[in-house]
Amino acid sequence: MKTLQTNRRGFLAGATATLALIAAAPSLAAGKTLNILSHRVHQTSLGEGEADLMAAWKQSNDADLAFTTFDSNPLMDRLFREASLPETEFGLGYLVDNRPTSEIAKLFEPLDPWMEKDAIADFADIAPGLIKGMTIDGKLIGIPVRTATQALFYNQDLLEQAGFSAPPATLEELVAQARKITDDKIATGMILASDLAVFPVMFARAFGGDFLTPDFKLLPDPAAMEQALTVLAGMFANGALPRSYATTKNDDQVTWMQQGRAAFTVLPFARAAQLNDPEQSKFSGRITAVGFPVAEALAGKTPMATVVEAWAMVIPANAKDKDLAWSYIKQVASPETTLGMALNGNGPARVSTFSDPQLVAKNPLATIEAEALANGRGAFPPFPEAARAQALFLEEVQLAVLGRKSPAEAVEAIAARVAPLLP
Amino acid sequence: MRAETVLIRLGKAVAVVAILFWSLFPIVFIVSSSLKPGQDIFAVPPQWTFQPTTQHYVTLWTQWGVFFQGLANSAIVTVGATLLAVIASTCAGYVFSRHAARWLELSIVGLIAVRLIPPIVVTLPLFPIVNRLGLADTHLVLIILYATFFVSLGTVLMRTFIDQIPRDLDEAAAIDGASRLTILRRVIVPLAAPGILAVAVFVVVFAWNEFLFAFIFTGTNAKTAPLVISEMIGSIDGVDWGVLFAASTVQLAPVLIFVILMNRYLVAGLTAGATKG
Amino acid sequence: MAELRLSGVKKDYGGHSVIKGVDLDIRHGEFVVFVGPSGCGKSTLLRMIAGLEEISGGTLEIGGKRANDVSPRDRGIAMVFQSYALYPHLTVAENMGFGLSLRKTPQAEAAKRVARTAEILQITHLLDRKPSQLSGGQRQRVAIGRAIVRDPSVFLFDEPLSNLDAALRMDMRMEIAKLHRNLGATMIYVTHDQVEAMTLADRIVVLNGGVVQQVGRPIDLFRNPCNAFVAGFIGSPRMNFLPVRVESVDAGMARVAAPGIGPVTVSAGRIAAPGQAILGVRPQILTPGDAEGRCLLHGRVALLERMGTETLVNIRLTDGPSVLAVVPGDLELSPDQDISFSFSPSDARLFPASDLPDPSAIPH
Ligand SMILES: Nc1ncnc2c1ncn2[C@@H]1O[C@H](COP(=O)(O)OP(=O)(O)OP(=O)(O)O)[C@@H](O)[C@H]1O
Ligand SMILES: [Mg+2]
Repeated sequence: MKTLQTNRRGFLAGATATLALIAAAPSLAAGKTLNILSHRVHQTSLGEGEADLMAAWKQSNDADLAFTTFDSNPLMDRLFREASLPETEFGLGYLVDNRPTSEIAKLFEPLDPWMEKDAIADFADIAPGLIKGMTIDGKLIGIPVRTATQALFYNQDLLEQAGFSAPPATLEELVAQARKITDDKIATGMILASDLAVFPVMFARAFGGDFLTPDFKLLPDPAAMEQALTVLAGMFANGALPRSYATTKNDDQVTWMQQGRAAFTVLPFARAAQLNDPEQSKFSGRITAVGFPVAEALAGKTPMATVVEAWAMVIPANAKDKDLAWSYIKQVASPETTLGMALNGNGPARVSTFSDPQLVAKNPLATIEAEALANGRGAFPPFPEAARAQALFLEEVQLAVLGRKSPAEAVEAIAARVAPLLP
Repeated sequence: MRAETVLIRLGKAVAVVAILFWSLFPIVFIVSSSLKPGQDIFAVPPQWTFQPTTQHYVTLWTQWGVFFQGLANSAIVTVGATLLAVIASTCAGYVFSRHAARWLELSIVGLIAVRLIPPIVVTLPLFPIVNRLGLADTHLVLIILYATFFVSLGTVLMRTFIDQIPRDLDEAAAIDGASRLTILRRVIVPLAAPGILAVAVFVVVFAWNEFLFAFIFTGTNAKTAPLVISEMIGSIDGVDWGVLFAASTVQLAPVLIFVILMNRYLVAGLTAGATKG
Repeated sequence: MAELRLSGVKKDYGGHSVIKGVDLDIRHGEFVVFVGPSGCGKSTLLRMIAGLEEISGGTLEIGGKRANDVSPRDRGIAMVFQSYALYPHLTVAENMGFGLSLRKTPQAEAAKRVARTAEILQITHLLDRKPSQLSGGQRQRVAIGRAIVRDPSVFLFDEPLSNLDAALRMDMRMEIAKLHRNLGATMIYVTHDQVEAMTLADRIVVLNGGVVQQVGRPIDLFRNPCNAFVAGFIGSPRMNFLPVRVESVDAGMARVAAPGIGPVTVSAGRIAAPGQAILGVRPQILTPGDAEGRCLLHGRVALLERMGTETLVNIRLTDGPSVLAVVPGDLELSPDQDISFSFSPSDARLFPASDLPDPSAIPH
């Protein structure tokens, strides 16, 4: 068969032509394009078409915005990967405040020089705690643009059925109400996801403690953490947390509340809309929120430091057109755009925006959200081993909540296991 | 046929129902959830009867236009990758089948070995290269990657299929006046059609659902449907389950139909091959 | 014109030599049959002529032009495979027309030629069937039809009838002979079956171990085999080989003897000196009883096969090997019976012992 001729060339030509046809890609029209890596939320909160908050900016800059959106974790992976290339097409990214370690912060443009050159309007209005979270090794690397502040949500109907006319003012009341609702077989008292550090951290803070402080003090008040775990274990033991606690996820909190299967949960204020969505919820208009309460001993003395997650806009250090990116940041961080986004459901980073009459009219929770935000901070500061530290912490918390370990033992184990991971 | 006891028959029926349930439940769950009013999707106890609604599909259409772009991209990439993989596997399988040489045997081991490496190991180093070549966020990069990923398995499969075609046919065609390419086109391809379909099914299912490569190498222009679905799941302002199930149903339907259609040909082709005189 | 010339043609498979230098001239229109035991290289030689195997050494000329590197499709040949090699996905008509369509023959013309060929082979009613719907004999006809339709100048057949039963084989043998007469093309035909070889061939080429033993007309090979191998291969049943001692050689005649035989004087053939030798005795020259001037063999009946028209007697010689005798007509003998046979020394052939290092190696 070796003497047979093969017509390789004709064959390759055909295959290549097919591919070339398939690969033709579209292109954009405006003079300049700012490529943005973000979550879809950031794109939608800027509005579209008629309601495009950036329309004027686009026109005056002869620029277009091209959003590439991903879910949070993939988004962070992609952002860091793009920023570590020699050069990236992306001029701007959105960064979660629990990610920038010293190492990662180096991938992004320090913004103080830009502020000096061409400052953002009324910069002092942006919550100082958020600015601090974006200042790594003395350099400001991101401008806060979105906050998610944790609130205590409750189902008014279920509370009323159990005879409570007001939401709990202290942690002890919260536990008692959850217990009564459970005992009366009205619903499960409270639902919390078991795979997020947010909840045990909130309970510890309610007793004046914490898991890890912004200056990396592990368990500043071990007794407070022990109290927190004792409370959670007690709730699980008498059914005020679901039997399925060990496998409960964040999404379950939403569906249980919508279905009326649980009376309390902890979620960001912004979730009020979804919890009350008549399309999805059986208790539309009946689920509302208050700030998470502190323990009786602290009531009136120490305010609750609720967990806040924030997003900031960053410029990759290897970006091509940083001027355009800074111009975009200035516009998005401006008081007008901040308000516009807030009206679209975005948790604002500016303190003044919360008291804007338009927003208060639209969002009755705006005032309490502002209060909670004022004293809030991240669940724990970013550091390279943060993911592992969180996993170890949650493992011990679960053992304590499920009653397999005493809270005291769990606290001791957290101290011993997490300490070696700190920077 | 021996008479079966009632017990054995009952046992068989239970087994069949169990298998059906096991394989169909997820599909039924997704499709029915996409038609339920939002409130009923996670109702406890589950709602078996409900007023079907197209509301989620409408929402999907109006709010997630990007999903339909994603579907179009998925389709382009899937068709492209399938064509490329099938052509390459058939050609390579033909060479492996018809030429025995030590180095060829070695290279087939190499092909299989490559397939054993976790994709992520290959992917990350490729990222800067793909960017340098200007292939980032193009359909072409996914077509090439998906095809490459399946050429090894495809080649081995095609080789086994082509091995079953007697060489006499190649030789008869050569004497009849056919070139190598003509032999491949007019003798090998028609007779290896079941194998080609088998490879195509593998690639289609893979390319249509693939996430990792698409996530790493695309962003906007070539973003595929699974990426959009993942955004729906991870949405930080709350998951709209109804829309998510609607999207999953739309995503599921074409492959499901394709596999069902091909399955008939596959089975027919295989049995025909087995009894060929 | 399609005469073929093979000069010193060799084939090696990775250093292992399979065809060890074949010289052969085949005239236009000749019917040449390759015979030889299994594995002797018949197919390999045929496939080299077809262009399906590379030629490792020597030259092949077709129609006076060197053809070593000409691709199969340009050699003007057609081949019929032992397995028929019909394309399973095409109908009979498409199978036959395949080569024509590849050569861009106009459709109408191609259809006409397929129809005419089908008529010659009486397969017109099968044209729309797929090969899997045909019997073995029908497939064979289609395979031959596919070869004929292209009107090649050389036909190659590799054991085309070996998958058919005896009756069908005889029919097809006659058809092939008729085709050869009608088409006048050169045909090269490989077979194990020496009846096919004897009846079809203009000339037979006997191959053994990749070497041509003898080339010639069937009757010449039968009468004057050049060595014991050819003698054993041509003629049915096989020639009896009796180990003998040559006592003296004189004027082309040798005096030989063995236990139970002779001494007897036979033509010396290639034997020049006394020593060990082999006496070849065809079963047909053995007759029961004795007569003046004949050589006598004595033994017992080991096996008897009575065919009616002839009788095959297997005789165990008193002090030696078995021999087979074919006697015309029916012969009533009982097993184990003592019996004597004789032959005329002038009908026997003497071969050097080196011709047959292992006499049992020749198949029937
Ligand atoms: N591809 C190959 N590689 C190595 N040896 C081979 C190859 N093909 C054939 N041979 C060897 O060449 C020799 C001749 O083979 P060939 O097929 O020509 O025999 P043949 O005379 O046609 O036998 P048969 O009557 O059984 O068909 C055999 O010993 C065979 O083992
Ligand atoms: Mg052979």
